[in-house]
Amino acid sequence: MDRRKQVLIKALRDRDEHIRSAAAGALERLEIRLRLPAFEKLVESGDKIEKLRAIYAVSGLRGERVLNLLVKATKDPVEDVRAAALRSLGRIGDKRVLPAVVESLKDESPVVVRVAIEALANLWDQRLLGPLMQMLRSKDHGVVERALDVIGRSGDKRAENAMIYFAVKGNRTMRMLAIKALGVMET
Amino acid sequence: MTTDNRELILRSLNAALHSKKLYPPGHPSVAAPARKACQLLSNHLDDRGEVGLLLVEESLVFDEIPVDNAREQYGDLTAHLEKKRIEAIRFRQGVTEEELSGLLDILTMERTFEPDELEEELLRRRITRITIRSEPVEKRNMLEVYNDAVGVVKNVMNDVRMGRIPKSGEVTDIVDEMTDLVFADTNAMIGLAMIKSYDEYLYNHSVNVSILGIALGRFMKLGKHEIHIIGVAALLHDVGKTGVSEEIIKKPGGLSSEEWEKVKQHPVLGSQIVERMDGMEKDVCRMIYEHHVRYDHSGYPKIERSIHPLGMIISVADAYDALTTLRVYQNPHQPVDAVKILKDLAGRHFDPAVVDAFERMIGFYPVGTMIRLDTNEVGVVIKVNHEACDMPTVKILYDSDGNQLEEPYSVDLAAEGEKTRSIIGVADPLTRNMDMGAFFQQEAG
Ligand SMILES: [Fe+2]
Ligand SMILES: [Fe+2]
Repeated sequence: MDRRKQVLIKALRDRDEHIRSAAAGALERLEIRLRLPAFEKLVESGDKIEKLRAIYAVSGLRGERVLNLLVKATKDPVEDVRAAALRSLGRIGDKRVLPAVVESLKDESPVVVRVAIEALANLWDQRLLGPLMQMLRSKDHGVVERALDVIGRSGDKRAENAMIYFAVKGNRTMRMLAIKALGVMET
Repeated sequence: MTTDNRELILRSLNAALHSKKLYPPGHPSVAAPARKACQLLSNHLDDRGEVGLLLVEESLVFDEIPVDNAREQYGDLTAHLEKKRIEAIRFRQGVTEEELSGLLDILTMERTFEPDELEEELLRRRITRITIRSEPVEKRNMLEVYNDAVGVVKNVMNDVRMGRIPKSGEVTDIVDEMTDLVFADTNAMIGLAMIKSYDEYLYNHSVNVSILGIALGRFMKLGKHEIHIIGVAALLHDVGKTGVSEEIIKKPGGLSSEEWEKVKQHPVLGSQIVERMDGMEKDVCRMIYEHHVRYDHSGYPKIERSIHPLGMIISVADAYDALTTLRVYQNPHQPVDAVKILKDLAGRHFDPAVVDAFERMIGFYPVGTMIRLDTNEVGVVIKVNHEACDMPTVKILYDSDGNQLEEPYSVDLAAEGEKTRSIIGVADPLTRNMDMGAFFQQEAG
């Protein structure tokens, strides 16, 4: 690690401007990685803001350790922390976390469920259709609207009946989503 | 002059001031003691030419002799002198009744005066045989003003929630104070605008937008009045959010369509609230009404007319503060990135000319940006440099090995001898679990 760092620090004074800024970017990421244990601790026992900062700080990184940290945060007692973790997982888009995100569809907070559905849009998989169709029964309109959006964009024909239903019965947004979906759906 | 005479003069002055609290102007209870004081004073001035009434270290001195028990005997007189921060009043021979009653008026006015304003006021009233020397009003600490401003927004929003019409005075006064401070030290005030509150987002957000709006107005060389209405409209721009439930406000980004429709009402609700506030200008209401109307007229609500010329200043300041704030649905953007986003949206969401001015005002590395130097030291920009944009003043927080410094120190990158350090890139405060607002709070305190 020290050798890596030395090379990068030296490159901060390179004659080439692009090399210099690449070195600064690399050092920044390296430092986040070096601080991973500290972030893990914060997600474990920090206050709400510290947890959120830690989640967003590591979101630029990849790898199992980061995913584990974020997955852990999806079980946090604080609603905002769970939502932020799910949002980050969606952005990272690594399918290894699919089970954890699907688990969050059962979250007690509709706001968290909404974010989980949004994250699934980025992790799309055939097997998601079942759990997402369940979401169409939610009482929370935000949940239903997001589920319609993700299912609709998948183009999966198995959702045809549901889309026909919402194209007529939904609120304005739901109808729009269902109508669009009916257009792009496989025949 | 006998002791009795001196006492009589003071007693008459005190009685006149006391009566002014209770009776309308010109009432005999005010006029009679004032006239008596003037007669006694004139007689004495014929002898002496000039008499001074001084407040020296909280005790009264009249005609060069300290007055015993002044606070008990002449309570109104001392209180008024103290309140107006008056150190000395000098009366000269020939003083008239009109002049003396003018002085009493000034002493009992609600407002405070700066020393030069007092001189102007005497001149305006054609009072030439009385002079007043006062201490300048001490400028309050920036942080105090910032926190007060947050309190003002809180009060306004609480009033609205309780169904009361908020008072305008508090709002206009605090905007004036913030304006003075932005003119005195823009960098420090923009630093304070990095203070964000996660749970009480709206209050700090309102104050920050006001500071940024005032700073931009100043940079664009707008007039005093224009800057004032920008500051007021910015401070109140989101007051309509009091009409949207807390639950919805705290969870933006994940709204259902119905919730979103409710949020979209806040500019209209806000302008209706402000319309009912005493003395609020039409322009302020209009700017609040339009603060989410975009340059290309997308956004909300829909309007036919053109957008208020100053409105875009608020929209840009609003977006910059929102972008640089940590929210549940958003990691805070670095100031540099926030400016890039504003530029990308120029011509569609924002007036390009305003974005351009904002970019020049806020600087290439805005105050509050965490940067890495070529020495591998990491610091925060505390002062922009408009002449050499990549050489601001920074506070070094981490040494070249990445260790946090116990005693951070400032470096002016443009200063002689500092040519050895230059900024290579932006660093992330999140990585260091750093609260930028707390940093600037400490800087100001
Ligand atoms: Fe707004
Ligand atoms: Fe706002």
